[in-house]
Amino acid sequence: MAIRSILKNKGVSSINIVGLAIGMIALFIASLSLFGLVLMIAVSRTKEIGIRKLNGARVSEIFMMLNKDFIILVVIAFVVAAPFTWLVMHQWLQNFAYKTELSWWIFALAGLLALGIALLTVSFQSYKAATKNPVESLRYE
Amino acid sequence: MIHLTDIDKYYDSRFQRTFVLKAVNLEVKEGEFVSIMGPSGSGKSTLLNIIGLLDKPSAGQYMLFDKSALDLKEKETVDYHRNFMGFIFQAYHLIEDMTVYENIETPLMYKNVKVRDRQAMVADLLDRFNMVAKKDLFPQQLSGGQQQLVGIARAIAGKPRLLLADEPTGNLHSSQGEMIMETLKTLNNEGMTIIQVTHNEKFAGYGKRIIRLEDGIIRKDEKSRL
Repeated sequence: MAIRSILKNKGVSSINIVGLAIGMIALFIASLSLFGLVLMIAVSRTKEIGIRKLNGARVSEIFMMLNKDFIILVVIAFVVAAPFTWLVMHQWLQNFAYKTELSWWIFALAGLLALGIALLTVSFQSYKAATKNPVESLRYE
Repeated sequence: MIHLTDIDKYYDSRFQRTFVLKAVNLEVKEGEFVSIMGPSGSGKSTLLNIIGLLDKPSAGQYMLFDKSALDLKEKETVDYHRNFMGFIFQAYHLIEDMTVYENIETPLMYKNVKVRDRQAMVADLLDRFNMVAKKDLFPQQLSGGQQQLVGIARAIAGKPRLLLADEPTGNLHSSQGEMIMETLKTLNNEGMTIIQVTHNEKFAGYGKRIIRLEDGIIRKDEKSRL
């Protein structure tokens, strides 16, 4: 309870904490599913990656090819989410007499953060798929 | 062109060393057509993979164009794959969700050939293999022989000097196999160096030279009788 009273004194209400916690959990679950998705794609494209490498693709090119799809996904998600977020936040801020501005950089920062986390999640698997020896990926038919 | 000296390939397990290739010496000159024969597990594919820079020998020397081809950086290996060698496989290994045209185009894209030149080069290849009408089909819509033709077209799209074929006729009927071998022979007559691995005695005879491997050792290195 001590923590809560300290936070309260600093002007942090419990709704902020709950909001933060829910946000973190949502991000974590989203990252997990993204990880699963890239794992599945990397496995199902193993053969294609091997073929591309034999035809002169560099590890970096394969890496970019795999990551590109996910960057597009995150951008689409951002485009869908941003207007809703603005609407909800705008409505919510109406409740306050003294309120902060909803400036564009908050959205940009959130978008970049989401992109960063997604890339971090995806890159690990992509790198593993891209550096695999094509002989191994093409051995089993 | 290719110079292998005392190539060993082995795997260490806890108590013993298993040799896949043992003291292999091999020289292949530009313009040769070499068939490698041998029973399953005799190390044919491993030898081909080492020549194709896909696998590293455990010991020995590999000179490719008078330059050591061991301990290459990734960039150098990729340069060899882009400009110097093409691969064909028993299972064709075409990309299933790309059309015939796109499959043949792939190596050219990695070679950074301009779009215009790319179109012309792919069109030439399609024309050469009589597949112009099939350029928008997917691999699964083609017969095995035609898929292998696409595989060959893709392998030679980047104008390599060396063609490595790992049992190119293994999945084909004999008549289609013969067509593929004739194609390879024509390519060889045009100056392409070809090394193929095969189980089929008759198809091995298309090569000018036959190497017989057994338990990782070269037993015989003979001129083809055909």
